[in-house]
Amino acid sequence: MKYCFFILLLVLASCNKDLLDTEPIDRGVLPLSPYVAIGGSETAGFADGALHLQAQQYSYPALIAQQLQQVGGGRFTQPLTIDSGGFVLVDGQLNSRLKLGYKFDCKGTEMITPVRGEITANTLASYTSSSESGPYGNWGLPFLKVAQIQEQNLSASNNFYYRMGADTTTLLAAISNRNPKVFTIWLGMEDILDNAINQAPEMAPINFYNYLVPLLDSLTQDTSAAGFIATLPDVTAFPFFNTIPYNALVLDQTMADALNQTHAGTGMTFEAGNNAMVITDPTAPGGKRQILPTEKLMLSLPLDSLKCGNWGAQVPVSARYVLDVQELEFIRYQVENYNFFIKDLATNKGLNVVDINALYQRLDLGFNINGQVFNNTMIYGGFFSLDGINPSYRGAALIANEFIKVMNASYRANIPLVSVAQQPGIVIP
Amino acid sequence: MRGLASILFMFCSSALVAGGIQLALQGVKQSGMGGTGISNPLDASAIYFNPGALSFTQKNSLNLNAFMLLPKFQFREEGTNKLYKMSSGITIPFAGYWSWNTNPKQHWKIGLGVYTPFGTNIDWGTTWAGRYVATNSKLNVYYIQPTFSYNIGNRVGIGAGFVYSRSSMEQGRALPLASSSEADGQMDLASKANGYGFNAGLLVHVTPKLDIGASYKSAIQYKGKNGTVNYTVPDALTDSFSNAAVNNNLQLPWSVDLGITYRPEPRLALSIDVNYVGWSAYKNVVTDFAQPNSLLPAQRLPTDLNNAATIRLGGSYDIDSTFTIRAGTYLDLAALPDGTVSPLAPDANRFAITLGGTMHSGDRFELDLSFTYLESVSRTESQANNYAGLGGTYKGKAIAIGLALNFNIGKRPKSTTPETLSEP
Repeated sequence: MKYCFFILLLVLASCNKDLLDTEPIDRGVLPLSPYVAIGGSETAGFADGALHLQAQQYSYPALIAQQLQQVGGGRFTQPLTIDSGGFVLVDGQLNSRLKLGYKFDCKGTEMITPVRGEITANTLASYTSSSESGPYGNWGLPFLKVAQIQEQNLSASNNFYYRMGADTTTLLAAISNRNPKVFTIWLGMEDILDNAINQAPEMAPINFYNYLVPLLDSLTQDTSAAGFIATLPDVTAFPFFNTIPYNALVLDQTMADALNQTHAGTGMTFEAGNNAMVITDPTAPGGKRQILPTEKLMLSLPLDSLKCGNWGAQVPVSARYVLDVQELEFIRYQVENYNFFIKDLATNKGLNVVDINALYQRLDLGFNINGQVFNNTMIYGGFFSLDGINPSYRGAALIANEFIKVMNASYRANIPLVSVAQQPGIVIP
Repeated sequence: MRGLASILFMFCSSALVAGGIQLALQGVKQSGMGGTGISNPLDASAIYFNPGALSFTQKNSLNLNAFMLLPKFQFREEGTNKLYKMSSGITIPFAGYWSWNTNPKQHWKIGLGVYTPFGTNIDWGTTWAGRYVATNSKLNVYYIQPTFSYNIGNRVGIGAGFVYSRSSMEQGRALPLASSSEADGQMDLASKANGYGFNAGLLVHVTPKLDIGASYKSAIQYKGKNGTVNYTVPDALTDSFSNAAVNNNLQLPWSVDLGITYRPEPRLALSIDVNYVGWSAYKNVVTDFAQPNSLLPAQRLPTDLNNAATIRLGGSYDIDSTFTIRAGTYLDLAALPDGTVSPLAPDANRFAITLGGTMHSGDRFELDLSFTYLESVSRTESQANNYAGLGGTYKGKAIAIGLALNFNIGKRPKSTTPETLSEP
């Protein structure tokens, strides 16, 4: 029986011990605190068409800070919205975030689509204040353009600034006052997007460069500070520009005949089946033409007008919802040049480049992380939130990991990455 | 000893994932000797190890084996440094053999074996970081093998058995489709199937001190036509993921086994075995989604396995007429190439040491015990290289405890060595 007892002891001993050790985590030579993040919507935690609590909690700066805390980093504060609905101003109206929900379209068909949530007292409260007080680590500001960094009265041009309680100073001053030891910068996205979506005047690459210089000069005054600057992705690959197909105009023979008549003399032809949509183009005969397969329709295009208002058929889709060949070429040219200057500035100012552009490029083909395929598709592609522009929580985790990988490589650190699969997914009703 | 048996069986147990899914637990005597047994006719379990050796076994006997398995697997996710443990379910692999002839002097023997050569029972849970690759996997396979064996002049034994097999399999993985409760979707496959094959062997009694054995266990093909796939998905997607029937074609690998047993003295036997397993024939073709589904891409289980060898060393020593001790070791080489290792089959090179013993109680009864300690070398898959993008390090350990009861029905004096050896 002694022998048997010995076996039992072995069995018991084997039941509790870990087989694998965790790897030693280490900050290396990275200075940790305070960490300050500077950027636009993605940085602020603007997702699903609004600045909202959960997106802020899972914003890439919040995730970076959370990982830095594991190696001794300090507290990281964000101007959190009062409740989960968050807020955004759409055409001057307060709105809360998008969620997937059921909605009847103009034809009475129930469909699943992103819908805005209820407006509550907290929506307004979030607009003017935050549930967390400063001094903030996250100075990401939705829709922040580089020219606004030094703007004296920023609250007037960016309605997300007032609630940060710093409207008496410029954003540059507010950031500099934090004396960051680690800072991440992802700027330029909003300049590109505002031009692409809202036809805002473009920011010339050299001016983009000139606006960044004073910010970087201020942040690098402390020579011991560690700076990280992100490259910009090609925004024209985002789902916002790729979800509505160019040939979404489905016709039967009767409808095609009617359209051929309507648009006679313009060189457009329609047949039964899928057809390229009709868009306005002042240079085309009759001021309208069919969209090219390489051109893009924006997700802001009202779907009911497509379905019931004869948009894209009898009524040409306004150019404000279209990125034509020239516009696409220009946007890509801008991104390329911004990236050139970002890399140039990084070299001159001693910053580390984080190639976020390379991460987004991998979405074109899609890649598999822990059994989930991430690509440019809305919802099921996993990377983008419901607005089709800003990252989902898992997208933010992938972005945070790109920053952390550079921190590890450049500062001999071993900061653990964020577990992408353990971030909340996109909720489907 | 009855007290011991009941205590042991109270402990939790689960599958021993060897050779990916191959269990090396078909006889308690053999498992105490590193799993050797191809050239050593120990008892009726020769039906599995080498049908050619069955005719050399002494008595008509009934041999009942049961094993308790305590496996442990752990996974460390690449980059995040997070550890995840596999939780163990309860499985008790068994093997029962019955052998018979009209008279011990006859050169023939018939037998029947029921055993579980393959099996796995893995449950990683539904919240771990690799859940979109696998949550759980269960494979139960049993073989029923009627066998005939004949020896020519007590020198050469040949034997063969027909194998009828049943398999049942369950596999689950989470789907990255969060519902309103933020719970993931889930896909569960289940199927049952029958297959046929054979097991043939040869034992050559070269000298009184030297035996050489060989056996071939055929691949077995299963055609499961009545498999089911069940989806749990958000309400809005139930139309896109309707539960459906699936075909599951499973093919378990063949094995070529060679063994040599040397007896420097009658009480001592030393064996070396090599099993060469045709994992390249292994197929587990499950259509991941029953109907084409544009929402999520299908995940294919890698099927490009390598054939793999297991090298076994073992020995036994008869201390006296009532007690035999056994010991052994084996090295089991991985069949899955880099990039294809998954939580369903956390395959790696494995190393085991084994101990065992037999108590003989008169002519009629033997009690066997065995103890196996198995450890797999930690194996790392890179996120960029893995078929499912699951990067991390796997490490496994297992303990198997075996207990066998052996009832002899014949009239011969007790011996565990071949007849010729007891006549010096």
